[in-house]
Amino acid sequence: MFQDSSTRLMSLIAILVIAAGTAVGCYRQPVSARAADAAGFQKLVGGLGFGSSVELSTCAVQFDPRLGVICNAHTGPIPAGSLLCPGCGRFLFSFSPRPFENLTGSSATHHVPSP
Amino acid sequence: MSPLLSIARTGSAAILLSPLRSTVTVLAVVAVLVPYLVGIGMVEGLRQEARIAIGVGTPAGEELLPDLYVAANQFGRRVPIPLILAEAIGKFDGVTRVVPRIVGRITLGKDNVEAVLVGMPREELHRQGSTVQQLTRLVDGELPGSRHGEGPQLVIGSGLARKLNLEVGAVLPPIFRSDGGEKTPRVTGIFQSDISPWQSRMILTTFESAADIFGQQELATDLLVFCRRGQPEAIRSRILQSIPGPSTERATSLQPSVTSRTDLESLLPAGLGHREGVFNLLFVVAFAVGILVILVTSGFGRSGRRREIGVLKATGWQTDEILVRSLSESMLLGLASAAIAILVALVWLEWLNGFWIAGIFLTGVETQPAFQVPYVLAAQPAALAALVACLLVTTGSAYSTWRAAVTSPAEAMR
Amino acid sequence: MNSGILEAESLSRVYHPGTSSEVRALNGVSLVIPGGGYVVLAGPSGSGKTTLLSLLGALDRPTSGHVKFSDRKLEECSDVELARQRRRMGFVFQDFSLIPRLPVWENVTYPQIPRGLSAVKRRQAADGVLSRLGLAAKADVPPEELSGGEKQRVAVARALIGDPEVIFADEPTSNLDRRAATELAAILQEINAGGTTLVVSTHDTLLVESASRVFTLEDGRLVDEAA
Repeated sequence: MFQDSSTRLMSLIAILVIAAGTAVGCYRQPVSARAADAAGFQKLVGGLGFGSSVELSTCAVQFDPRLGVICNAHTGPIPAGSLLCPGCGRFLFSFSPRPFENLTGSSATHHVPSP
Repeated sequence: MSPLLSIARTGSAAILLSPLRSTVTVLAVVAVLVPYLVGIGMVEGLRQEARIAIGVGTPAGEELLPDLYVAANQFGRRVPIPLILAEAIGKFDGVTRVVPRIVGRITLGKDNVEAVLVGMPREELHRQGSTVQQLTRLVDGELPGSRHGEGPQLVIGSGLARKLNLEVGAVLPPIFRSDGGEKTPRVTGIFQSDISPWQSRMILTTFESAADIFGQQELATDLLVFCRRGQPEAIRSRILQSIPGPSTERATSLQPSVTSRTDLESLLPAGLGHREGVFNLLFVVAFAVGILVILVTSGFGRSGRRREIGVLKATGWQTDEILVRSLSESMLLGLASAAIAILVALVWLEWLNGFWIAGIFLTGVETQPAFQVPYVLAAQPAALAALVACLLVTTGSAYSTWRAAVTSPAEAMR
Repeated sequence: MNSGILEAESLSRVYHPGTSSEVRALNGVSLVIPGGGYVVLAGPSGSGKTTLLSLLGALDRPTSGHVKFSDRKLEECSDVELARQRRRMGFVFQDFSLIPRLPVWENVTYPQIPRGLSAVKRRQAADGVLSRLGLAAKADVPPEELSGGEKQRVAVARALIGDPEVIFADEPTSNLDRRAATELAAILQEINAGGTTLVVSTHDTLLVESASRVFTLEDGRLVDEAA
């Protein structure tokens, strides 16, 4: 019976590995449809959005470097990363300063009261 | 059966003989790997979205996105760019059209919800809108500027709609006065949640409305320059040389900044080779902690395992055979952990939409993201996860097993 | 000295040499164990019986002196060769040393796994040995569900499975009640009658009475030898 348990365990592990491999190999977000929709959105807004931020409050660079502002906290390096700024530091990926830019950004703020 | 295979099979028996230790080991490895796989999946998904956002892979001759983005600097800081420069650039040979754009930061509601206000010229919006096959796939409602004479018409992101409880047709309080009186903004559309992460906090309106909202006339934040094929670099050089020019009196102190598609492409991190961010540092730490956890769990029942190895040696098992048994056990645990981690990561990305983890790694994202988190779980990170899992488990138990295996049976059984 | 299956010459074993906790467990012991013999190592606790048994059975290496098994000096063997020599031996430990949760037949045949025998063949071999020892019905049961006597018989079965030339038993009856001890003594006698050499370290008079030769140890030295 223990031998059966042992064999069952190995079979289970094999099934898990095959399932994981199949999931990685075969399961995808519907790329082409999503890509077409994403391209359509980008056409409407003229190409906007690039990094791991969805708004401008912490770091406009991490929203989109086309906005042309550079964060002065790009003062790295640190092990396995290049930023010390806590706002940028947690990002999945971020951008090194472009060599021809050396500016801080300014962002316009305008408050709209609630409906 | 080959002796090696017989010994390797005892690895699975060894797992069953120490169920608590095996379970804790698997859980520790899964806890380390799942956030990593989810994060790496999101990196690749975002990278693909970013490529679309800069028009990489646009077929030659197709004018989908601008070739150049022109902005202005003054006193070393980014400043708005006068619209007269758009006219000047529009006259350059090779330029097909120049579109001014406003991208600004705005807050909404009593909770000061952050939003990105984007203003595009009405004609450009409808020009681009007409080229999109199914606009309803992008916007639930209408594009701004569809109705003349009304106040600002806004298409808002899915995140804003959810956070502020807004629907198509909703009216916001008046936000500015113009010569024509108070203007009441109205939501004419809501972006679909699965088209892009960056729509989530975005408000799209006409250029004119955006200028009125910010109270800035005849100014843009950047100019989108469309060029004929092969012309972007030449036009870029001309812009940098020509502006400011004698004809642009107000702009004499402005310094232009021109960003091309190539510049943006060079910023894209290249797959697993990217090294930016604390993301990788976090996981170096996590892996180190994972090894420590497994070192501790491998100590569970250590004296029992030591005696067991002593008995094996006393009954004729050789040192290398014992090590093969231990390696087999570690490999099986590692593979099981990696497989479970991959499946859990996939569920987390697809069905839980990156719940909580997305909010850690992306700024401005709620615990339950208001947009469909893009991800790609590729074979390379999955294989790396399997390798790391096996290494983690093997490293955690290797030393204690080796020590027991090279000790004399009498010593091990003491 | 007449040669036997096992010979020990001037065997010494010192633990933690050169330290304040140095222990001289064995001091210059020489003996010969004849093939097919039933040899008992007797003596009070701490006399060095278990240490001597470990050295004779290649479970440990002496500090000085040598052990010959079938004319092969064990201290000249590498670890791999020592393991191979142990495959010609069987061991019965005082505390049974069975692997918990592992069924009896798997415990019995664990020594055979590195030889590449299939599970079916191993099961057949286990059933044969377990039947001989009256444990056929317990083949699929884990050790936790056995009595002390049954556990020790499983340990004997494990020692027998590889058809060894010699079996070493360290205080095999010390954890058994009288009845189980008597049964085990009978089993050991039967094994010896089949030609297998037995080396048993014990206080138990039952086993001493069955022996063909008794070596008495005291304070790590051989003080008496009786046939």
